[in-house]
Amino acid sequence: MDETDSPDGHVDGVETLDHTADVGVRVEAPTLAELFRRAALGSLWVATGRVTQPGSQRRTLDVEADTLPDLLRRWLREILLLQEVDGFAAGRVEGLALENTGDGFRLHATLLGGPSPPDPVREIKGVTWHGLQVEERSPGAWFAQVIFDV
Amino acid sequence: MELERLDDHRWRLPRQGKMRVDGLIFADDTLIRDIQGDPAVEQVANVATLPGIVGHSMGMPDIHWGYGFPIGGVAAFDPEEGGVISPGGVGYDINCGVRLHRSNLQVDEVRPRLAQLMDDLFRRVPAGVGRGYRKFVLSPAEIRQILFQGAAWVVEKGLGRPEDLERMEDGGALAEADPDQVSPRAVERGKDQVGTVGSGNHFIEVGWVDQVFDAEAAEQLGLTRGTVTVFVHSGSRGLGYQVCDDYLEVMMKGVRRYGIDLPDKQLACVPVRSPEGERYIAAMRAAANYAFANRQVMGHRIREAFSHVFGAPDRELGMELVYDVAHNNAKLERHEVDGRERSLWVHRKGATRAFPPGHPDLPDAYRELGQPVFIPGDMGRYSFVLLGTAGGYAETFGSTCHGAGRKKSRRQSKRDTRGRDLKREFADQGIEVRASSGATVAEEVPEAYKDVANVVEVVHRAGIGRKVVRLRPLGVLKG
Repeated sequence: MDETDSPDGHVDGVETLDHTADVGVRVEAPTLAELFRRAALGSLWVATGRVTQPGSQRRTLDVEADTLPDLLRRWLREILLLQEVDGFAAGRVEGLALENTGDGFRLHATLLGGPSPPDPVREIKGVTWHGLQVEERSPGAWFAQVIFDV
Repeated sequence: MELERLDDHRWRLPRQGKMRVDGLIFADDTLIRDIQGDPAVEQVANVATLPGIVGHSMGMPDIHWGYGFPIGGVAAFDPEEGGVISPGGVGYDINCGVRLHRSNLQVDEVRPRLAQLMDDLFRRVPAGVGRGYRKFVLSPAEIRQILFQGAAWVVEKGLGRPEDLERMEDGGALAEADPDQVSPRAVERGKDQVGTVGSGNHFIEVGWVDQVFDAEAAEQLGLTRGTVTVFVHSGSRGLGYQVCDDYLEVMMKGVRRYGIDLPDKQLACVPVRSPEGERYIAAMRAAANYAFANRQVMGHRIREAFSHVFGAPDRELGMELVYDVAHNNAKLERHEVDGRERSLWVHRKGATRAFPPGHPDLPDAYRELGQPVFIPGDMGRYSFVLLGTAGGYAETFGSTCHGAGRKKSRRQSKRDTRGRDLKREFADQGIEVRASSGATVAEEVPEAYKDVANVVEVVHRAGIGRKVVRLRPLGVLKG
């Protein structure tokens, strides 16, 4: 974990990725669901500069996509849009359920959070497809990489 | 990939593999070393594989790695030949661009009140991450009008002058925009961001003309030595980002439907003449109009700030808009290729339109001179004003560079500046900085960027733009 980018705590299993023009994260987790959970909190950490805290507000999200990387991208996009547009920063992800539907993937999760910090550090234009990875490198070792256009 | 040297400023990437045309990169011996170490060369090759590409897949001297298309990439596509339209060839920040205001003030008149001026600007123009202008929250109906009318809507509201529109590409609005092709989510993202700078490498910069290369042109542009100027660099904010995101998803599906073979997913595209292509074009034009409106509001706020600080109407201060250019868009333009005039979709991603003297799309004031082009550098060194050239028009579809490009990552930049009082360092150089975030300043320090003078020199020597003046920063406002 790079403390240069982490003035306020860190998200387990998430590290920032050095990139000339933009910002990325690498995420590791023992399960796929945990990977998605950590990626969500990690993306908010990139955007807000702090580990967001669980709060009393609840939101649910349902996302679908054809592939796991696409699912991750859409998931993070929704998380970040909630933060940017609705001012809701998720601090905890509960009940994250991932399902392989046969012709794609579906995710359902409940987010607990609160108001987004008034001084986020970064404006994320988009969650890109560049270098986008979701893979199980070995049993119990899931890996994801995402680069954000800033 | 091996590049062949054509001359001191041109390198050819020979057609190979699935490339349909050659690549052409503008660079000198120094720049090409950096470029060759960057995946941008491969991206030039990738763009060259797209259907309907005409001429070359080009890289301007500031070319560097981007999403799909390289930043600094230029490519034109013929709809008659199945040519495609690609959001990746425009960028997330649709119609991001730069405008330059000039004034009758000289640098020595402004320095004594510089701090006051920067404070005033900082109060008037929201800068920072996602910060909206809370007094200027627009209704969906108003956003819709902006998406149709662009800067004209802003001027109608009394924020600017009618003559400003003549000094903007396309008169400050692209025709045939369709707000219905812009998603509600995009409208939601942009509802309170008109008139805001944003963050990252966006800025407002008060500067002055410190070097003149072409005295006659400088005179005609009102940019004689010592003239105080103001740059605005910003784009379509959250609305544009969302339009790009929405249509990248559409294009990903379209690629399969139209059987387009892509070396890189982020080159996702569809034929111009397809329902998806037409929808994206209509939405892109709408987002472009938002960007024009955005910069027009900021231009008005800048005039207000100068008027307030210097105690005179902005007209009396000579606060004219020199021009407003874009460096992230795709436009349908007529160009001569192999002796035949063709209508082409010219994609400029991190590349600036640079039309030559005599071009009918230029306003009367610049018809004989050529189109002004603004190339911002970093926040500590200099920027340049160029003019479009006939040579460039023939070779690059009237395109040139847009900036310097980063050489350090944001993280490295922050590490290298840790513990330094950056605001003091800039002040010691006579530059007043106002920023919503210290982290942004750390990421945007001059040492994080390449030297734009090198880039501009290549442009000038290659004949795809000609230098007029150099500007130095006095005050910089960052998000």
